[in-house]
Amino acid sequence: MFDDLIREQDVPWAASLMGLGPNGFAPVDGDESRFQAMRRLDSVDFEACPGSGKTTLLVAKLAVLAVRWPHRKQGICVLSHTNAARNEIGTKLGNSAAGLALMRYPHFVGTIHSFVNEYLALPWLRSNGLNVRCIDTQIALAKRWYELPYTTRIALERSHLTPAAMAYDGPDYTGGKVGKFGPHTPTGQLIIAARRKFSEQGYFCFDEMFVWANDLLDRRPEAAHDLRQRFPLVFIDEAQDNSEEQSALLHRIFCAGDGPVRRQRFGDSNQAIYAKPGLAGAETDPFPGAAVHPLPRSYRFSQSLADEVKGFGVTPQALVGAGPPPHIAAEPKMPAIFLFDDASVQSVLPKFGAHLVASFDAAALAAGTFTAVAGVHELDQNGRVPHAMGHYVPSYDPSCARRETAPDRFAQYLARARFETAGSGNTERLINAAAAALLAASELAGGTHGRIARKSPHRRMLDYLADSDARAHYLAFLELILSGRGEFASPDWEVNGLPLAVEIVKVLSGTAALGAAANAFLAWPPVPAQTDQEAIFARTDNLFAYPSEAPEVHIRLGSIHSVKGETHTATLVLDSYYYNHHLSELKPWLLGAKAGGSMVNNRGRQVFEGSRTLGRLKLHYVAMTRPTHLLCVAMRKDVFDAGELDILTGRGWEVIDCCAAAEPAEP
Amino acid sequence: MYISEIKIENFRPFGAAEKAFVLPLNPGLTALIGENDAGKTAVVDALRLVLGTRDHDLLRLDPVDFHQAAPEADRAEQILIRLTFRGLTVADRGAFAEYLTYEGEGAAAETALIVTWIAKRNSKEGSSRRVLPPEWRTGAKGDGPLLDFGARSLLTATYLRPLRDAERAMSAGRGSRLSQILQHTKEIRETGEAFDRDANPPVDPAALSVLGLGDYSSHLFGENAGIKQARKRLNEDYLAPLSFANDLLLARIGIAGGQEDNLRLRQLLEKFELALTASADADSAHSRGLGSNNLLFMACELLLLAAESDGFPLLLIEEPEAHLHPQRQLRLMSFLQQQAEKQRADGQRIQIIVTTHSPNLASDLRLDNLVLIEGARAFPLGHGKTKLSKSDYRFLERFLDVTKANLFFARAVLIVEGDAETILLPVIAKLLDRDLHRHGVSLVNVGGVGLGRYARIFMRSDPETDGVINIPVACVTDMDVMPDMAPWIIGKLEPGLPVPTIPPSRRQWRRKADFPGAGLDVRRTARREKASEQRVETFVSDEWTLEYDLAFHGLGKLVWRAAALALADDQLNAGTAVKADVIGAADAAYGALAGAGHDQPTLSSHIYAQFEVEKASKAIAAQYLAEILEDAFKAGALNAGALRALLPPYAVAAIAHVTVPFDDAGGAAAAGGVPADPIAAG
Repeated sequence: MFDDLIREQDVPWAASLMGLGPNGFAPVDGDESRFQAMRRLDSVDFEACPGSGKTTLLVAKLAVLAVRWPHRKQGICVLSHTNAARNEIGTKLGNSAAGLALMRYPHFVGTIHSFVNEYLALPWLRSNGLNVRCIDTQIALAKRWYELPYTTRIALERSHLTPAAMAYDGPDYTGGKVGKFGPHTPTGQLIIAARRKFSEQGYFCFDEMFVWANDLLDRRPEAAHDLRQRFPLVFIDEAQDNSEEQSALLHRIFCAGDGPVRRQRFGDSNQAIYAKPGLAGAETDPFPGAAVHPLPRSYRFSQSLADEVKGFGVTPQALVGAGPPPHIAAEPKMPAIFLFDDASVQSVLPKFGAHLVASFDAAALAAGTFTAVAGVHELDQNGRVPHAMGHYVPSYDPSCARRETAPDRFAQYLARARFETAGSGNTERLINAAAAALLAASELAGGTHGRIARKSPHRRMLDYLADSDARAHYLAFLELILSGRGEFASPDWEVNGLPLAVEIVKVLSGTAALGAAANAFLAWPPVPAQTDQEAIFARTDNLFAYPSEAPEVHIRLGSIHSVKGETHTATLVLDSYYYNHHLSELKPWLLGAKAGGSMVNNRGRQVFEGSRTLGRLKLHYVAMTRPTHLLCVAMRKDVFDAGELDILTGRGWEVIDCCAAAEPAEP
Repeated sequence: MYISEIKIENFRPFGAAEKAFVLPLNPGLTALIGENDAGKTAVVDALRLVLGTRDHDLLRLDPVDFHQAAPEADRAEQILIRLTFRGLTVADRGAFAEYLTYEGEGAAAETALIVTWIAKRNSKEGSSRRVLPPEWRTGAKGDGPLLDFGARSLLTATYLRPLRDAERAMSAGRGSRLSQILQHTKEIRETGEAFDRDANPPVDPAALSVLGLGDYSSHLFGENAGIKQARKRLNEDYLAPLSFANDLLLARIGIAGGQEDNLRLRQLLEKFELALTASADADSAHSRGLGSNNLLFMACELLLLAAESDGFPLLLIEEPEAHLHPQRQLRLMSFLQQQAEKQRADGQRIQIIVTTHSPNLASDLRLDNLVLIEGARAFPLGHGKTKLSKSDYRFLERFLDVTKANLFFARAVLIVEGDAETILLPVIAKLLDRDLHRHGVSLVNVGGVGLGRYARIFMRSDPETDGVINIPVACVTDMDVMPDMAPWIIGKLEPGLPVPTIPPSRRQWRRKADFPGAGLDVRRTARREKASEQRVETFVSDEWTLEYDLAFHGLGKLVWRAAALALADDQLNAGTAVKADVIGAADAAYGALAGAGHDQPTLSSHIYAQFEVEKASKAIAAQYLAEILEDAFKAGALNAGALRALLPPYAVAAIAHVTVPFDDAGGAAAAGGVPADPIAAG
């Protein structure tokens, strides 16, 4: 059924549609990898280097398939990890009329989680009479946790257990991280009862959807074949990020046993990084599998940058640097390293700004994307400098940057909305974030609203509050939020915002007094001590402007995780601390003494680096492969001895010392 | 996949909760039968609303479609129609994976697709939109995702309306149904090649596809000398003088074209029409009637339905019998049944739902395929749903013929065992002001076998949950026990011979002495209980047989007279006898008999002997008796009240059961007495 769906003459058409010109996928210098990748429809894993344009390739294939797809009952399944990736695919597909059809029945384009929910877990739970109200780990765990008697909670906390213990991993509500409180103990029974009670009321954690999906496949093995019938062709984007759970489930649905589907995975095993430390990659059906199609040609950066960073790949790829792309009129720059000490750590960013202003003309500074990223972005003030982004820029607000985890405070809902609104002036995000947060607070206070609804949170609020006095409170509350553009100073919140919010949540949840969980949710977080700092940072959006009085360049700050998949003009990779300083540990790779994540020892055996080092390599490979023109790193000066700096200089690095600048008048 | 249950709430005649309409369906063919206004069309329209139809003829929901529980009550706020699909193939389960409901466990595990269609009335004052847009929900409780438009379109049904104008549907024209059907026919789309104007050598028309031929002829039109000439004249004589020198207007004349293939094909197909010919010779166009055209139309729709490889094949036909004579109706029905049993390439079978008023169609179908719609409720007549036993089903499949099948379309049913009842009861009912036609009573003569079997069609096996069919059914049957002296009078025994004892005798007849003690009541109860439950009631003759009972209760002289006329029937018809003479002789003979001092049973037995001994035809006698009674009414010698007093109570009660009760108890009381000679001889 897949023969002739993508024909030779379609390749130039698709390339033009993607804005690459008709020869976008044509062979270059005898390298047919992109052309062949376009035409292949067998099961294969595309090992795609940074900047190889794999999402473009995927969308181009989808655009051709959309035109030719003849089936009404069968569709193409496109799985991504993040909603952002899904939206990117959707936007690009929207360029062609046929492409739009792929976003609708019978096709599926979405995250793995939403696929598992929509096609397995939710139908199964519904069939078992469970009304799924809300899939939100925080709310589900809080409801279950506060169901436990106070003394039980105290006992659990003494054993270093948190509400996270209330998540289960078996359809009989057992398992989970309960320490010594197994199901045979009275406390374990209480835990299971609370899990069961709120699951039956429709509150679930995100990951529990996998439990129910697997339960369906255990009880109704034919469901996997039904889905294979529905989706005979499956694409998985960013396959290197699949967790073991995801990979095993997807393998079970689409590949295990007879009649596997055609499956194409896109990814880069060198960039496999996970949202939380400690998460491991997939053991089942790991990426890449046996059939690999390499895409080693990067359209992002030049060959010299490629040579500089490829050693950081755990499995070094023969990177071909075919960049940078022509949309910034500038030549690739020499990589630069910024050296600092405890005193000068906060001068790294200004130095970086100055370096940018010196390296690029005004047009490039205006059009380009400039970022500074750190592997760790939640700051421990007392950690060893540099611990995280906060040491470099004290006003950095980690909650804004965290895109993929659910917010767990009212303030974070607003912060994220501010981040997403990013100065557009549209109120929609703020209003709905406020409404969603109030609904979440009400759930925590014991109300039952459910989140699986077709209306926007704001519409639902208006419905719920229809005729009560709280409607006026709600409108006044929104007015307050809009007038401050979603920002509150802590006292302002206490005096004006909080009383309104409490009144609204009381009416919503139908309770006279909000419980501890809801109150904690509504409380304003303490502001980091920074008020004496000069207000040179646009605090809400984590933008660093340089020079502060008359900005010529804006540098976006974030975690390495947050810039995954992005392309920047220049990227500054800041050292940070997790068990040790990341970049310091990677110094041998920076100096060229080591390359890759393994070496062949003198007995001819391949020996891998430790898992922590492998993690560091992947994380910083992601960071260092972002820029098109300029790669910078920032590290402590005392990590290097003079000889090592000479090696760096010899490898084409520019060394910029921040220490002297920060302490001009040393006593 | 097939629809295994339809549930309708608050739509037209159907109420909510226990008044909701629930209809379980089997795969294959289902015929909805029942009298007018029972709700058959409402069921079909409900299916059309949920599934949509291929002719794209939109059924609009109107505020009056919302159920009104009582004439003064407010209309319901929300209509709910829930369809449960079962028997899903792998392809079906794949196609609807996100909407499925998993049911049961282990061996009983099943997967269903449940679609709940909900439309709400807009109660907002002054709004121009009176009905809010409907929603298609899924899941057992309607808590699943909304059914996507693409998934919905897989469910589209084929709908043939009642009194369809087949000739128009099959004729050429914009948006004609024929063009729609042809456009979806695989052969039309896939046979032959496209036209290529630059092909060398030039195209062979025989190798072209339909669209190719159309394009070819458009091309030829463009090349036509006459058209070229006209174009030249238009350009040179008219447009040139109207143009500016540097901006010439030029005309082109040609068949409109250049659009998308599908559009051009549709325009081409809209020029087609379909007509019937008597022979395979394509040109002998000769007009056929409405009925034949209807068959043609249905054949076309079935062709399309059977050829499709995706989608849910549901065929809805309202009154397939329209315009067809009875034999054609039977042909059509057996053809539809065959179609429903055939498996398509994709493993699906066509599900067919028809509504009908045709006893012909109804009689040709198995009871398993029939659903009686009565009083806005559905009563499937299949195995397990009625009190019919397996042998009853086998029996009825053989014997339920066209004449009996009209019992499905009645408001009340009178089931009798003989010709005499068939002739007499309607006349008596009419004279008692209980005209059977006026009350919509179907009279079914089962001819001596299976009386209870027909009645049990109307008895539900589970009336608690299923409800009761609110159609009164009266079975009229004989007690068949003669008075003790009768065997010698009616010739069962030679005078003087004793009554043989059973066993060893195998005599079939019984007399009262055979039933000592409460024996008679036991026999009567046993006969009654064969079919007396819910709205079905069996009326057992008070004494022996209809004729005996008529004579016994007060019409002795008239029965005697009718028997005499029956005996003389041949002579009367041949003109060798005169009616008045026959009556005169009969009355004289009756006078002698009545004067002999017999008691009532003996006298009545002697009257009955006319049939048993003299072999007067009961049917012909019944005809004469009917005439005599009608004449007596005309002459004013008899009226309804008086007649009722002379009739056997069981016959009166049976008539009352299927019509309306007699409001006074007088008739029944008077029937107890025995008037000697109530009617003046006339």
